[in-house]
Amino acid sequence: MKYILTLFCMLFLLPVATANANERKSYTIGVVPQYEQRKLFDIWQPIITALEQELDFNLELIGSPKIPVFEKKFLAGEYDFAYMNPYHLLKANESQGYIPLVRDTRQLKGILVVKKDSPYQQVSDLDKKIIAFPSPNALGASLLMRADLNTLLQLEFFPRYVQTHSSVYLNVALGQTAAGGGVLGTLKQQPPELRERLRVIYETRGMNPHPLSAHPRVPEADREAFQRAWLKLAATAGGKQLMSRIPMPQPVKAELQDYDAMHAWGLDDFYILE
Amino acid sequence: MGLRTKFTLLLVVLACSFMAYIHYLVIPPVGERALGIAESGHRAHLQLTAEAITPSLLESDLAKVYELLNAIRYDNPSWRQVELYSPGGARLYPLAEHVDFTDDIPILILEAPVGFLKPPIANLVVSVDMSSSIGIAQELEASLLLALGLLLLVLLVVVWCEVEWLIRRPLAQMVLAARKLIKGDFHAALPLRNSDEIGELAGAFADMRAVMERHHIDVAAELEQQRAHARLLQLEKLRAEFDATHDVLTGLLNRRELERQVSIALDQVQADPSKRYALLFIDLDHFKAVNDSCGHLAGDQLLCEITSVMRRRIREQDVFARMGGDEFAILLPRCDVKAGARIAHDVCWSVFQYCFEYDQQIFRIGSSIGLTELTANSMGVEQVIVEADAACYKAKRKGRNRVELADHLECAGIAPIGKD
Repeated sequence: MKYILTLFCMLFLLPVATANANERKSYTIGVVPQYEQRKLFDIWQPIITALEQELDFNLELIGSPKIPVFEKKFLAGEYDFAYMNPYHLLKANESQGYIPLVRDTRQLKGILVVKKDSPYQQVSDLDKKIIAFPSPNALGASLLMRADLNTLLQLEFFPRYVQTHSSVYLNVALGQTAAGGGVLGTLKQQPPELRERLRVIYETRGMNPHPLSAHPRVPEADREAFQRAWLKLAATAGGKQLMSRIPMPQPVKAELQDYDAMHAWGLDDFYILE
Repeated sequence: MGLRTKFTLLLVVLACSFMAYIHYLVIPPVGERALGIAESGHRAHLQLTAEAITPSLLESDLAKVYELLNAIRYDNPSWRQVELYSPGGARLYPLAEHVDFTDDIPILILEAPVGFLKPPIANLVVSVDMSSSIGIAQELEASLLLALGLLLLVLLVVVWCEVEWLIRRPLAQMVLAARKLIKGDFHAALPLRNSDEIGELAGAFADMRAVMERHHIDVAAELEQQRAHARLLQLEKLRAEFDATHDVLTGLLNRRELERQVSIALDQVQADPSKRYALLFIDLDHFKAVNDSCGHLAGDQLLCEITSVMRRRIREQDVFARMGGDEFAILLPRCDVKAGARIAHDVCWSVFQYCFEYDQQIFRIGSSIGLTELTANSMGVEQVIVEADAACYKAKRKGRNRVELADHLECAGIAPIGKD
């Protein structure tokens, strides 16, 4: 009888115990839609799954169809964690107080390419020429590049927005525009026959690349746990391989001060609301 | 050339003409139509492609344009080259250099403007490899040709068989029957009496043959009758001729025939004096006694028997005649007087030796024989016979049963022949 009672008690207590076990905290994580959603999830989901094994909370990946939607969401503080570009971080910090946790060590620079056999040797040769950019607010390729051209080099030019980095390079290579703004990373991804037709004539000022940041509502312990788990994962060969696809092959701790220099660049003047 | 060969040649000519018509006039438009359909398909696809890339091109999103065109090229292996040109003529796609097709691949170049307004924002040019479409068109042509050829073959075989069985074979059968009819065969097989013209012809032929057969039978019977009649006439003629030249009782030549033979002999002697003929004139002795005592039947029997007796004594070629009553004459060719006299004696002796028995009576008879010779100087048949008759009479006068020479022979020194 005693055993039967014990068994009943166990049966009633089991769901409670299970419910307790399922009560892990869950945070959302948003990622800037650099790529189409399928590729984005393909890159990020294995990383999140690996991180969850180290953490005592869950992460839910939230996709966004377009960058403006993503911007609105982080400005509204919808994401607990978010991967965004440095300019976005400044805005997110201003509005919601997002705190950067990790970033890559490489510097992010915009590049200005011209057709290899074109007569343009320096930026000043592009006076009153059409220059292709992916989109107005693409940070390295467009926003910072336009700021540099305007502010630093006082170049007068006509921008043409051609949606993607690849389109920029193609437009330049095919002579549809005199020059185009891109970044080194995307240029390297282009096929050789396209790269061979292009020549870089200018690089923008460098900045620290995209940080993964956290909303201040996330407890500090969890933020630190996340940061540790991230760096721990990056230390493994498998984790490094996963993160190089973001790309963030060499992550380090990020500080808000890492991005302070950008405040002086006046990027807001070149930001175009969509 | 037979009907079968002519008709087969006609069918072969028709088949060749039909196949030439199909090959040169029917098949080419079909192939062109098939190629036209393929070309329309490529044009429609090209138009869709142009519409698909228009939004990206309007945004100068060349990467998207490349992505779309690469995918379309991948899906259309027959599009050997896809090129996009800006209105200024600069090539926007692909990055690789333009390739001119120097091999023998049949290339169709199609062009479509990109954009919905004029002027277009670009021109899309594709070089379509038409070899597969041409191959399909050729397969279509070949299968059509094969199908029509087989249909034609079946039709020709059916027509050939119909003509063979309905026309040629009945006609050949009738030709064979007609040839056999010429040879008198009235029962060769004929085609069935169908209701068509050939059947009617066969029926008419059969009726005509039946009529001819009946007529043939009538003619044959008539002919046979005529032949029998002719044979009868011939026999009667022969009998009349025989009767005219022979004696009815003894079967010997008669007097008239003997005179004719003597006349011929005289002609020969007068033409060739070396030829010799002797003439015996025989008169039976005591013949009247037999006639009177035993009757005419006995006399006739005696005459017949004595004829046989005398016949045995002369040669086959000797001309033996009954002159009338109990008088006989024998013309002996190649026989001079001497030999003639010997034969006359022989005959006379044999007659004398012969005994005639009749009604238990025995008669011995003799013969009186006069002999003369035919010479170039003989005065004629009558005279010769008279000479022989006179010699015979002389033998009778001298005692019967003996042989006497004509007077002029005795005058010429030929010794008379005495009784043996």
